Amino acid sequence: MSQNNVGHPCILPYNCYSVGDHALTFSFGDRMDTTVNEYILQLFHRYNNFPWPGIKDCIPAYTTITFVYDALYFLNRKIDPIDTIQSLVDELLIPNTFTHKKKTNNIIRIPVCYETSCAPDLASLAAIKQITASELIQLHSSVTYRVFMNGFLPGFAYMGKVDEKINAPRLTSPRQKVPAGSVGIAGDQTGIYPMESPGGWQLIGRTPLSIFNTNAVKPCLLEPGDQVQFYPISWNEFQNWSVQ
Amino acid sequence: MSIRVIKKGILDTIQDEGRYGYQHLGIHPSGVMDSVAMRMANTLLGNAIQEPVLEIHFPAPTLLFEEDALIAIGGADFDARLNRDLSVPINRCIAIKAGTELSFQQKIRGARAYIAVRGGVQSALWLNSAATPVGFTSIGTQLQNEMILPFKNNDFQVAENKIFSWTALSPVNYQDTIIRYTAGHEISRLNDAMQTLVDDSTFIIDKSSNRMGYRLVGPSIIPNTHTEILSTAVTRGTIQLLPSGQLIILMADHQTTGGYPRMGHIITADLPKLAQRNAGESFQFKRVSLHEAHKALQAQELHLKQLETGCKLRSVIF
Repeated sequence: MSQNNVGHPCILPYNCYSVGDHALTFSFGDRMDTTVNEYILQLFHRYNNFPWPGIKDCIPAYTTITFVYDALYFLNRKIDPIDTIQSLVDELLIPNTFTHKKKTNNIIRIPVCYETSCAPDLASLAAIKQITASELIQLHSSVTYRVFMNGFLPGFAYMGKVDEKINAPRLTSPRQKVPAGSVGIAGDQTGIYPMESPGGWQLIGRTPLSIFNTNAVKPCLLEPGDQVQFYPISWNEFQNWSVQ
Repeated sequence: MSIRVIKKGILDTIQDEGRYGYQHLGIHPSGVMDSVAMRMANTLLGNAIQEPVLEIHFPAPTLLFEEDALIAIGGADFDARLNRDLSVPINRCIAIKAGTELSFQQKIRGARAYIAVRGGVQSALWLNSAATPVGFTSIGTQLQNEMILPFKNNDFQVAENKIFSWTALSPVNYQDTIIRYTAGHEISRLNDAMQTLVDDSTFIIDKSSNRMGYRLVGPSIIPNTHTEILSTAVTRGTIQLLPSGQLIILMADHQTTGGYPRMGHIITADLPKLAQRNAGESFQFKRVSLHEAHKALQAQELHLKQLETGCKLRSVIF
């Protein structure tokens, strides 16, 4: 069922496969890679400039872009959804149809309290990595991260890559309740829990910012392609953040 | 005026066909679990097929109609009663006189019932949808005691409580225990014997199952490799293989992306059947081609379109 476009005059070859009877995924690789992810986001923005009828959602991820379609829209018109979407993607891939102006990626600065009450896993992680807590904080807050994709929860941004000196596996037993704003590490990714939820990432801090707000014009603070930098704040600043 | 919630049920929400267009932000579609039941209830009343409805579970709510209304109940049969007496069947039009109480006595079959009101009820919209994802108090509508659900229109008047005589027949065979799926991208991680095991086994729906997903109790499914995949899109009906060897099927409140291997995807036409299975009930998988999945969906659609035509002809009497 997989198809590929090897030999097509586009920049990167893809693999195309169905995700059930109402979604089609185009895969451009299987490793976390900024170039590939940027390519995916360009495709996503080009699609968004001219959305196609019959498509309900377009979901960019690390190396894949998925089109969720209304199967009956295509079937009622006696056209094949797979062939149709694939030829539309092929058109998007042709470089001279490029219309999207590249988004100027402002760096979003996010305050994080790395103190013990906000960072239940920081001390143990630092010990395992044989570095001090302040070295860990320094390593986490000195890198500008890329938002590779959103997923898991509304507004949850997968950011990378974290310095290999502080990368960390998921907890073997996930927590039942992770507080909103918690900043965690999983593998070479870092992320912020937008709301209280169960979670298995190692928690090294917490931000007082609202990451997901249904009342806001832009409900998700972080979106794919954004650049993010963390900076340390004290527990006192964290507690008083809302009144600033 | 409206419906008043006398006593809320265990999980009563307003749902529509889902909040699509925002999955790139991680915002999941949510929406009804059994889209066919929702559509039939709306069709019976001459509503737009996507008109938001109440999705209820058992124990179910007790609702007081403060105004005359025409309603239909679809999906599960929870033994609905008017004023704790008159028994109300599913998939019928029901005229309700102001002051009547609608309650539910017992779970007869199915897991979720849908209540549609002619003209619809007013509901909170977020990103153009009334869908209510469970666990988000700021999105959608979850019923609370004494909550008022105003009608959008109140042009319907009845002389007395009345159950209309015709029953709409569902295109879904809810008794069927075969749930069809198409192969997932990571199915090749299972050798032939393991793939046969999936298709030949009976799986029981675990009690921890909910609107997010159904955990299955069955034989341990052991893949060739245990490596996770880089997070990528999943959809409603995706069958994921957990590191424990158990399967989980993503339902209406599913996440937008996941990193577990995808063994398969329940076909859209069979999702209503699965949605009406309770924890403790069992089923078997059957693998079909994408073509068969689409054929099944088209057959279901044809049935629903015919029902729409039939109801339009009947509705001249309303």
